[in-house]
Amino acid sequence: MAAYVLRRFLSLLGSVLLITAVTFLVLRALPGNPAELMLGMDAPPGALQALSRHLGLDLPLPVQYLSWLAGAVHGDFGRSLLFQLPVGTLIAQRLPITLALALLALLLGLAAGIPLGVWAASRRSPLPSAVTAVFAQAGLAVPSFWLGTMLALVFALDLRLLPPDGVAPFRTPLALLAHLLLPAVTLAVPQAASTLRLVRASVLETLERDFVRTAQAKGLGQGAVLYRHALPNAMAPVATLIGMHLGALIAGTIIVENVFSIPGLGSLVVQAVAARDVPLVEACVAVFATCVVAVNFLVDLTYRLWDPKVVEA
Amino acid sequence: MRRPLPASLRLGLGLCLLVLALAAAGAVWTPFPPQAMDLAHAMAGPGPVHLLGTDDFGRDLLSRLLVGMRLDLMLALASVLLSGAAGLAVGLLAARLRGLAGDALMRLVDLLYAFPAILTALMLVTVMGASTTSLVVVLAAVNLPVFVRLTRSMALSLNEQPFVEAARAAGAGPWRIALRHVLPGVLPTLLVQAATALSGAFFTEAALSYLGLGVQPPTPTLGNMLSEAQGFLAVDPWMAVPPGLAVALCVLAFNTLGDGLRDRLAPGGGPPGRSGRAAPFPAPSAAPAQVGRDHALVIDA
Repeated sequence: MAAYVLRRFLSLLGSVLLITAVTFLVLRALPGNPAELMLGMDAPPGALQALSRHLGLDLPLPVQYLSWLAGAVHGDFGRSLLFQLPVGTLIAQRLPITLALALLALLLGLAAGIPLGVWAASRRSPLPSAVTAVFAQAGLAVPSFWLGTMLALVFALDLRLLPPDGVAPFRTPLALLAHLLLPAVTLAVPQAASTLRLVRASVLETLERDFVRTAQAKGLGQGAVLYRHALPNAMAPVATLIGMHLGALIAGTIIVENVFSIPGLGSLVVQAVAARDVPLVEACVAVFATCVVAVNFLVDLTYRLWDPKVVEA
Repeated sequence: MRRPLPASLRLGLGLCLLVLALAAAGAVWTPFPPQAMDLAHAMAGPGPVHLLGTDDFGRDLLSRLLVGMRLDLMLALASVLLSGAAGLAVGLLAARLRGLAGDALMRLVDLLYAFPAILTALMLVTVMGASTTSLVVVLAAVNLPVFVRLTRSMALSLNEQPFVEAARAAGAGPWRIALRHVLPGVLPTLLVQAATALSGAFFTEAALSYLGLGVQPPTPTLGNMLSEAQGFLAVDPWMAVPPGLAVALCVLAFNTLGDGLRDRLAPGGGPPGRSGRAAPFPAPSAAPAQVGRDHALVIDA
């Protein structure tokens, strides 16, 4: 087990290095000098040179990358040109909000998706199937930026139940929850839809298995067969799905944070791209990608602990 | 043997025809010129003159919707063609590459595959700007890894098939085998993937436009119409409704088409899950099984 964890961890490190290297290469080696990108075409040559020196653009690319990496390990990602602040500080301020939002959305999505999926699989009548199929398709098709806008319109502007945008500090958890609820629901809808589809398929498949037939044969009622025997076995694929979803949710915050003006990492990266603030974009992409890869790593480990039959491919 | 078309495929084809018809309408005729302003009737609701109402400049929403939809659809189609062709080429190459080069290539592709689509897109937009051409490339890059992985894994297993071995024994060279024998086996699955990729590209383009990083106003796209509408949410909430529904309709159409094609190729279906690229990490154990399953049926069909 220890060897497995170590191997997976090294592979995680490798992925993160590769991601940051690719990001770095794309942002610095593709057409146009980043300094020019940031200052615009008609910037005075003096300013261009000063910025190039500040970014270390006169050095060879591998040297640039290694010095960036050496800084990044210490939390020093350089200075944001847009905010005139250290990039590390900006990220430290904004990452917690984004993670809180993604986790809340994950919980909501599971809380809605699993029961609906079981419901859709357990009934013979066509109604639950039809209702959940419509929800599943619609949930996947509706763009989050539109759903968020509509939710804000109804629950914040019309009914005035929840605040329309912004956040509250972590010191006041209830107020924070109220602010994050609509964005989290927005993020959770497609996730709930895809959980529903998976849970339904998995439960249906499990219900065909021999041990379920045995349980039915020994006279157990419908409920006992479903909840005691089928359900625990049907949940294994859902664990894998949680990892995929958390990754998707973290990426989804990029859009939803902009809908609800939440000062998290997602709105930060969009501001950075719009202003072509290269050091900030590099760092944000690195942090996002690391989160996604790390989540996958954790899921792999839990999966292995959960089900000892899983052997590494 | 001919099986009747599955209901999902019929629905998907119908919805796609509807979307195409609307987009085609945007190309030939719109009720008003999409940029024509009529400030006297700004922010009107739906009515007999402006069927879907007007925006803050009094521009006709229906006209802008049709024109925007056509542009979005063309961007998505162009990008899927590009990424499909490039993915096919790289995938066939990757299936032939052995050793370090092949490993390195696939490692990179897997990594890009795991990278959230919107993040890849944002990064490339930073570098390439937001022109129409660069958007096609950005959206193609987002879908490229899926096509590469799919082509490679199918080509690898087709390479082991008796008919390919027979061709090899008959003296066919590697490229002839790839083009004459492997390619026809790969294409149907790629076509199914193309429908899913189309919805992914459409979604990403709408998201970028919404964030102000895609096609720039005043050229209408569904995404930037929505983003403009959001500024007037408190005054005129109706403005946000049509573009959002239009995005949902298009994505639904492509997703249903993809599901339907998959049902047709593989009765029993692939694993459920989000179409498009929202789920960036397929279970390591699930992915090959799904390709294998689809592929077995492709051969059989």
